[in-house]
Amino acid sequence: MAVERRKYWVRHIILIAVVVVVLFPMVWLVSTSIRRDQAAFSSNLFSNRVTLQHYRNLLFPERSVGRLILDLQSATYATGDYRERSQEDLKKTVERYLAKFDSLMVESEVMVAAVEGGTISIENDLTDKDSLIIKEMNELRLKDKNLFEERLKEIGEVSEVKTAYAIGEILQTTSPSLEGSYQFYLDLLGERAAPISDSLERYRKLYEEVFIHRDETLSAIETLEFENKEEVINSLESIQNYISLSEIDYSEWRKVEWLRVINRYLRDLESSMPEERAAELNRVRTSLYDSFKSAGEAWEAAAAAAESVSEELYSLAGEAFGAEYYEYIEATEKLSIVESTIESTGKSLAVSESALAELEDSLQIAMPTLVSETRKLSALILPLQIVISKGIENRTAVTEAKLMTSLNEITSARETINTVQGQLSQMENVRELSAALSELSVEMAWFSDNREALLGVSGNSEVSNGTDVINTVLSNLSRILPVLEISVSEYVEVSENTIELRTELESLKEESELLNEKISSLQEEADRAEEEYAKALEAVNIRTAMLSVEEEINSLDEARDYVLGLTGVLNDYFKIRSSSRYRALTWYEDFNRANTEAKEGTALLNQLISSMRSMKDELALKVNNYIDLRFLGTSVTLEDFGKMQETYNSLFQQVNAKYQRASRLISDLIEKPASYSSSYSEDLREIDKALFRTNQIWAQKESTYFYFVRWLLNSVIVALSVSVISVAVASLAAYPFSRMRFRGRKQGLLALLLIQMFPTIMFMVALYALLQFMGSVIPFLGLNTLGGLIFAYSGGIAFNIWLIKGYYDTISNSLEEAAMIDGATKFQAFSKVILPLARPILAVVAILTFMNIFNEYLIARILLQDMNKWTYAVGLWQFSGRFETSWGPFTAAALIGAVPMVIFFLVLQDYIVGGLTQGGVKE
Amino acid sequence: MSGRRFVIFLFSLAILAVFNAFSLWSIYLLYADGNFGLMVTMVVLTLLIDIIALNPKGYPYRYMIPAMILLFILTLYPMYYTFRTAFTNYGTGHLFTRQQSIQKLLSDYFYIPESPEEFEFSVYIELDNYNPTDRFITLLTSKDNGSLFAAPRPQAISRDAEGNITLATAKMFEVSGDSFSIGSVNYTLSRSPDDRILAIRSDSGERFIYFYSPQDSSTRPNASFYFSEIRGIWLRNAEFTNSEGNQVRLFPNSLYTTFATTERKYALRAETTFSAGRAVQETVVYNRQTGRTLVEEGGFFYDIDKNGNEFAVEGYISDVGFWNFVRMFQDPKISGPFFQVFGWTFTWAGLSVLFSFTIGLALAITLNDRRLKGKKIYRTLLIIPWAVPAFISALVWRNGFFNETYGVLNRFIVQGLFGMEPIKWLNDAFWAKVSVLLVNTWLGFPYMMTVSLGALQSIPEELYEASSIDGATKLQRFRKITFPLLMVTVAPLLVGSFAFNFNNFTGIYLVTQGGPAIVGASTPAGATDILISYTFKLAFEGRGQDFGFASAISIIIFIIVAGFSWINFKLSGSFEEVSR
Repeated sequence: MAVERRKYWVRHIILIAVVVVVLFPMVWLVSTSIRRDQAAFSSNLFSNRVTLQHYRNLLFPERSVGRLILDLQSATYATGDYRERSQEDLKKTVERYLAKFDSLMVESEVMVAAVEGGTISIENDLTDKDSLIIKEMNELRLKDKNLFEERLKEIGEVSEVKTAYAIGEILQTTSPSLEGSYQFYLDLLGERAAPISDSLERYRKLYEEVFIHRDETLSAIETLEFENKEEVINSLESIQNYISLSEIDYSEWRKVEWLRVINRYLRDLESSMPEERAAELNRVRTSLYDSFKSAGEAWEAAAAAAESVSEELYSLAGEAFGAEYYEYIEATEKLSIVESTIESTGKSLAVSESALAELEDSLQIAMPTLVSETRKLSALILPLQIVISKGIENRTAVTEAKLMTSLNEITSARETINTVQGQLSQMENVRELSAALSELSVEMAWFSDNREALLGVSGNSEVSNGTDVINTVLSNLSRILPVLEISVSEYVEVSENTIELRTELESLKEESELLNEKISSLQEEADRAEEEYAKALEAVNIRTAMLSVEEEINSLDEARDYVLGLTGVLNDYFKIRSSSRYRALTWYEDFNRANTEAKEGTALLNQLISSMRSMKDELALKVNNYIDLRFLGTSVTLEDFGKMQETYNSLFQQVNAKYQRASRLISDLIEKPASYSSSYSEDLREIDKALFRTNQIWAQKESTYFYFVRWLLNSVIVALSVSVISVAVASLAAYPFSRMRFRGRKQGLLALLLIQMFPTIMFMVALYALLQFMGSVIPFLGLNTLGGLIFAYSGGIAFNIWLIKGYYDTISNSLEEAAMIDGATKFQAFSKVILPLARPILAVVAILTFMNIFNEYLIARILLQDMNKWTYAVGLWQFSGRFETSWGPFTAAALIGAVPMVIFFLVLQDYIVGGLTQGGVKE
Repeated sequence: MSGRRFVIFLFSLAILAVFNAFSLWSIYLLYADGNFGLMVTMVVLTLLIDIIALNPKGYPYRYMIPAMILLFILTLYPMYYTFRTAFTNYGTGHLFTRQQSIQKLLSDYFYIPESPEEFEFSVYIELDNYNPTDRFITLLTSKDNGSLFAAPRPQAISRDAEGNITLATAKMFEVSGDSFSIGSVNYTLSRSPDDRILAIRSDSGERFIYFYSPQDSSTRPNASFYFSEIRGIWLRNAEFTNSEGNQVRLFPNSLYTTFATTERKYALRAETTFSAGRAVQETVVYNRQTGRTLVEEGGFFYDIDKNGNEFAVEGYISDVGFWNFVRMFQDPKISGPFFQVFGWTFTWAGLSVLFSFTIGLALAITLNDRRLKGKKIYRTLLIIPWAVPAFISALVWRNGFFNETYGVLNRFIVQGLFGMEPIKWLNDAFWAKVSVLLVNTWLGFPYMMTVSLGALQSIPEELYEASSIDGATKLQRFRKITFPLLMVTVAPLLVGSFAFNFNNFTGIYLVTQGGPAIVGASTPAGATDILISYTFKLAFEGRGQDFGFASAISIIIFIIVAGFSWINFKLSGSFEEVSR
């Protein structure tokens, strides 16, 4: 028996687990629909700020201020939904809206008062909680102390070298200071930190001197009367803004205070004073400056010392964690340098490669001209040479010989060009091309320089014709030659550069590979060392934190500093969030923040209410006249609406932002209380409610809310009508199939089965056309009407006929026969005997049809266009999607539809299961 | 025949007469409309009903008359329509019959002649309680010769889907001697001393007051009413016919501040063509501007532009034979995605049944114990996913659970529990398939659980007792007794469930909308699309509608599903029931 029972336990646990998993979506649906914080995906499944507002918005939609402004506008201009309304109707509507507007304003004021009242009462009560908070903080401090001590014990002794190395790391990111943890680090370092301590000591002396000289200066000018005395005194007194035990800003002080004020006025003053006293003043003034300057220098020296010390400490890596670790670090560092070089080299390589590609491109473009033009030249050269060799009249030695050589040069250049063209990918060819080009251009230049001479000299027409052609070729070439020359020379340069970069990259990659190998060989050792290092660092950090744990907390400010100082350590090493650990303090602070937000928001809201009121009053006076005007054919655009809209947009946005922040903080305050806050939770809830209600009053509301009830109603109307029609028709048609034998009975039944197997997707095209036609004859059965939809749905009766026929078969024949013996007709027997007996199946069919139709949305979506004619299923589809689903309304809307269906189903589950499994089809 | 019966008989006859009158009327209208499919349906239906009602042997059928009306019009006709469409190119670009397309060509296309006759115009409005209405008369003054015409408010000829008028026509009547008549009603103009027309009065006492003219700046305050109520509704697509039969419309070149004559772009003419060596007279459509004949090819009318290029003007529905079916196999851009969709449809239906049945059966076995307490409660709770309307569940899963950035699954399970990268539930083909299967299993297992539970309870207890006496182990008992006996009842239901999931549009479309899209497909196919959702997308969504292709797929689906159902009836023995 004991065994049996245990088995049941297991079963129950499994079943409960399955139920939880299976119903989770439903639970999420319910919880999201009633939460007020819009945090549909919060990790807390249930919010404690529960509201039925989403349901209220859907079932009893209320016009918010934002909505009212829009609706007032549409009503006044008779546009949109108000288009078809009569003049009187519009006036009444506007009046109603204005009244609603007034009531919303009044309610807003009440809410504002509630927020204010609540915050003030908490605020007053909180003033004497200081000591309590401090006391609690001190208790926590002791707890922290224990925590830290325990952790330190856990870590155990950390050798001095390791500690020193860890501190070296810390020093790299911390600037020197004479106070706080920095001094602690120096103490821990002891001798090693001597250079830093020494220069810091020197800084301390100079620091004190600065203040002594400052005071001297102050007393020196105390008795003097001069124009800018006050300014000078202020400037002198503000000196501590520039110098402190942990910081100094010499250059800023020199620029802002010294040059602009102190030096400037005091120097003037000295020049107008008796010499002796001037000398005295001069002395204090210069010593103030000198001491400040040397303090600055001392500070820099300290920083430099810190750097060198940290460098030295850094080299302790080997000693502290083993030589391999040191190597590892070195290698990683080198690797990061090499990698960045690789990256930059790669980038410049890419740049030169793309430049190269561009140059190649331009060469490709220029080459055809070059080649064809030079070919013309070469074709001319032989004839010219023949002529020249025969001798020219008026020959001069210069020209003839030169002409010959020129022509020869051009020929050879051309030949070069000819051979290298098309093989420019080889560097040599490009170089040759470059040489040939420069030769060509020299010769060309000669031709053009001596053009006149040549023409003058040669009496031979062939020569002059030839030179003419050469001239045209020349001008053609002169256009591209310079460009080409530059391109080619650049090309040479760039490609050399590219090659260089490539080899560099290769060697760098090799190097990085080597380094990587080294690193991976050291990795294991390094991991161990890293771990040790982390421990050393933790120990240092915790020991530093211990410093503040030792000190008693005396004020809220100290408590704040305390929390600030420990946040990092607690989070890094203990995974404790300071905001929840020090709830006593953070609650207080959060409340103050919420309070500020709420107050600022309230101030803005009051402003918004009053300006909205005055605008509305003005509008109310004249709006009827403008409606009249509209109906007289002259629509006038009222600026009032624009102004209202603008005021609403600009101000409400700010109010809302502040109130939302306040609301979020307050919900946090409620959910995560402090030890002393329980007495406020009532007040906080009230405030929260008021804030939420304010949002409801003002926020722009979706127009879809106003149709929701209509959609539900449409769905019910359609589903009810279809189920009535369906049951009536199917119960009649099923009768002969069950009770009579006639031709086509078997075929009919089979046809009914086949019919329901046809996919109905394409029916919609036919139904659309059908309803369009019907609508033109009988308007209430057309497209975009509920009547049409009901008609379209009524076609799905084949399955119902089968269901009902199956049930009729189970009713005994003898009852009808008895009735017919008593003189009833066949129809009477059916309607008086069979129908009443078949009531259960008729109910099931009606309900099933109702549910199916209620859930159907495809046909409805296609047949219905107007928003107010939609059914629930079509409407719900609108709630999700578009841009971002607003979860509250969507889930509430889904539940409003789903819950009745679920209840229906569960109550009737046995019938439904029985009915459906007979048919063998799941719907 | 008793008196009562006689009355009933007369009453029935009267109803039959009314029905016949109504259906004859609708047959006539359908004939006029060119909707021959529905017309034939109505003719057959009417004849059938008349025969049944008048023939004494038709008694059993009389019960079925209402069902027949609904089935004929709402099921058989759409089925016929789908079959018919599957063999046409009906779809975007081919939405009208050839006759309608020609009609559109003749009536919808205009060009502005080189020198149109322009008319300045003014609008005269009837007032109702001193408020302007949209009853108006337009006076047009010819710019050429100053002659005056009047046009009544045009009548709407066609409207678009939103009910906006796309064409409204009226005749223009010449005004002579300050009076004109429209039909039998005479109108007179009233002029002011400085000869401006102030109003138009009719015999029947209507008065139209001078309201707006684009040429008269003093009427500018009325412009907004003119634009929103007169031009925006009535004049925008108005077409007045003048005495020469030319169409006068608002003239775009004057920024619609005047009317001008326009010419119809296309007209019919007879042309002689030669085919097979014989001259054939044909009526063709030609472009009046260029004089060229339109080319007809592949269900399109092509016009020829200045550069001699053909461009499609109007398409019409034409028969394409088996082209839609052939396309599924031949065009690689269509057949690729089609076979992918086809394969996934089977995988999806199969896996859906497998998963939901496995889970359902496991739960049923767990629950099937008389000594288990709270059995009814568990069953009721577990049945809830079935009870919730499927489209709501699908939307909740899709929006709330599968969203990549803030969906419950990614935030709390994938990232929160396992610390993995967020899963692209809906944008990755594999995970989208996982999503739809997950949802469908969730939706489907309660049904499987319920039917398995029923089947388990019907297995006689004695079998187990006997087997335990023979020393069978638990596993053996399940394999040898429970499972075989269970399958006898459940197998047909599994096939039925397969057929249901085969067409489970909601389960796919509402969760992923079939996405993510298959790369490189020329039809809107997605990785999770099953045939039915693919059909829907082809017909009603995306780049263009392709009713023909969608219908062809519908038919294939029908053949497959009918095949499964046939197996099912064989298994469940429904055929015997039919022939009983």
